[in-house]
Amino acid sequence: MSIFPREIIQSILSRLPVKSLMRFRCVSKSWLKLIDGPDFIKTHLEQAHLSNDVKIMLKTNDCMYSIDIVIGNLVVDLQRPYETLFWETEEILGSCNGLLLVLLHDVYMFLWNPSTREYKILPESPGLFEGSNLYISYGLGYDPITHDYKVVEVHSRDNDSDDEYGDDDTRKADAIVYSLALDSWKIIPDLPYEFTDVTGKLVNGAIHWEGSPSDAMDMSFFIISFDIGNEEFREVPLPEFKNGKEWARMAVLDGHLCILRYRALGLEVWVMKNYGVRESWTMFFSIGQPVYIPRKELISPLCILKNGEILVNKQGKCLMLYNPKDGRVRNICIRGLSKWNEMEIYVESLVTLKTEESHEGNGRIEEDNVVRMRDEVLSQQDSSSQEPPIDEDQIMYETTGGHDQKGQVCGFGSQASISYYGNSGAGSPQRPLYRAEDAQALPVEYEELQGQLVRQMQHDMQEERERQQKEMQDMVARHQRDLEGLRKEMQDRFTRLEELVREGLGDIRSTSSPTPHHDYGQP
Amino acid sequence: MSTKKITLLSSDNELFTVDEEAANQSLTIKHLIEDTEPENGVPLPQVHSKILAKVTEYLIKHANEPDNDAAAKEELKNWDDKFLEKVNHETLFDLILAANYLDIKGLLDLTCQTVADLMNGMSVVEVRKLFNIVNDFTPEDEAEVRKRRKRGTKTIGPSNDQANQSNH
Repeated sequence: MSIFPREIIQSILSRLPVKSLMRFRCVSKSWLKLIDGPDFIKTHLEQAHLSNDVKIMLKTNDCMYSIDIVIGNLVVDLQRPYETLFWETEEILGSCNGLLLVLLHDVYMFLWNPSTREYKILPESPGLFEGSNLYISYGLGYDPITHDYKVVEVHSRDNDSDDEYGDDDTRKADAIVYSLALDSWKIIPDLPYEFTDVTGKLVNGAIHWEGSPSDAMDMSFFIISFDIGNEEFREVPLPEFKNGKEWARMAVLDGHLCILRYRALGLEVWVMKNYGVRESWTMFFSIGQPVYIPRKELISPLCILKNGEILVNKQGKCLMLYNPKDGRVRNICIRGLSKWNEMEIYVESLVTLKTEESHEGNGRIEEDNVVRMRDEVLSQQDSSSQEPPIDEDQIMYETTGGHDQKGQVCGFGSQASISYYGNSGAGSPQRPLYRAEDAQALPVEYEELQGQLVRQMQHDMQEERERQQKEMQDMVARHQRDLEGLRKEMQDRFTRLEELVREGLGDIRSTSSPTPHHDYGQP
Repeated sequence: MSTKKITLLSSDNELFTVDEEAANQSLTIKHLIEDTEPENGVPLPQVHSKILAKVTEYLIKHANEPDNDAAAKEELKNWDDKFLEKVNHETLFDLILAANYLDIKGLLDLTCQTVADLMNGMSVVEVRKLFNIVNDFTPEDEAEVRKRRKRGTKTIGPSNDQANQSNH
């Protein structure tokens, strides 16, 4: 920074993509400090929002790609920092300021910044209802006042089930809210709403889902919002359409809440120009659709790009660009990526998942606090430890050596605390939860707590493992049954062929099998 | 509308004349005019004539920014690209300093973006050279900073369990 003042360097660097910034962290000590600093992370994010530099994440079963539509289909393999055998269980549930909310195996929920590859596994959420009628909606948002990221899970119960507990109770929902700064969940019970969306959409500091008030008499279209700052749920005022029975869906375009109306002649997009003001709903644009629309998710606008074109998702299967000026529609082809099963829009950011406060362990040991306590231990360990060398092989070795169950808990803990980038200062939270040599160093109360935690986690892991083993066994059994059936069929056909040959009837190839591509023998 | 002319005086005492509307894009010049009402040109002792010539060229072109005319916007954008096309690094950096001192937001954004685009394909060594930065890391520190970007992939879930089981 010899020639330029800090602000100018900051202004120049804030226009660079995250990948380049990661490279330039080792230009000098002052640059490292600047790039890792919270001010710069904020400036860089603002610049990304300002230039509307959105990336599209497409997920196939085995890969995740980042695509820059404006630059021209630049496809980058995102390289997930985690590995699993069952990619099909991976779900992307939200996107905010460059962070993605991911759920893996229905168990591991984590926040991931694909640009920096930093990630954090969230502590286990408190379960609310048991049973199969549970319906869960998710959302991720940012509170600019407290600079906190929050994850919301809304647990609704299916109201049209034949539940024997009476009608009133079934039309209820409860929410749990995770705060990254506090690293804990809290419960907001008894919401008078039902939620039908799985993933919420973020606008104006609130997450929005389609749903309805519990006392609604018909299945009309409602939008329920959750204010990330004051953590309140409320209903969003909607325009009064003459015919309310048409299909409608919620969307977000250009930072505004929109309603997509699927009409016989095409799609109408309505926008709420002033958030929260019913009168400000106006018709934004419409996309003509010459054929009758069979399904409501046929086309949905996703975002407005830098060049004014609108990115549209068609049938959840392919992407197209709609130009509102001339009404032209272009399909987007991505070579080698014909099929994908999930997509999300995000910006590239340096946003870190590390929290600055250190949590004081308070020594309370109660059975139902075990989960929370585990996280407190985690964060305290994090903040107190001097940056040790992290070596994955070493962790693996420790998890496999000596203590079986405990070792696996080790492995889990280490993943939860490892992150890739962030504050460069001493005491970076990078240390596995329990390593053999740490056990003695811990205060006495932690040993007791540790025992409880290990037991709890052993139990959880055991259950999870049993479940998965059962799944595997079922699958193997199913395949074996299929194979057996096939083998039988083949044998039958062979027998029949042999009979035909023996009887010397005509040309075998013309009379035989319904599977002509198999040539079983010469006459 | 009367177009009042403003005279700017460079560090090497060269005079540049622009319309007031053009000059007002620089908040520094605008405030100097308001505060001092200088008779013999606005003195800009930090800007050399070579750079001030470029700056005034930009100010004149951007005096009437189109609001809603897409074609005019496009034309202006192309002009911006050409404006900095043949400028060497030294001049570009001087332009940034001038834009910063004169408080011309558009020009500062444009020049900063140009440097950022320039840097995008550069190596760390090239960037140090460009900004005249001395590497103050020890080789070990630098290796550590680099290493922190390159971490392997973690295994989550069943595959981890199975790996553990297979070892017992």
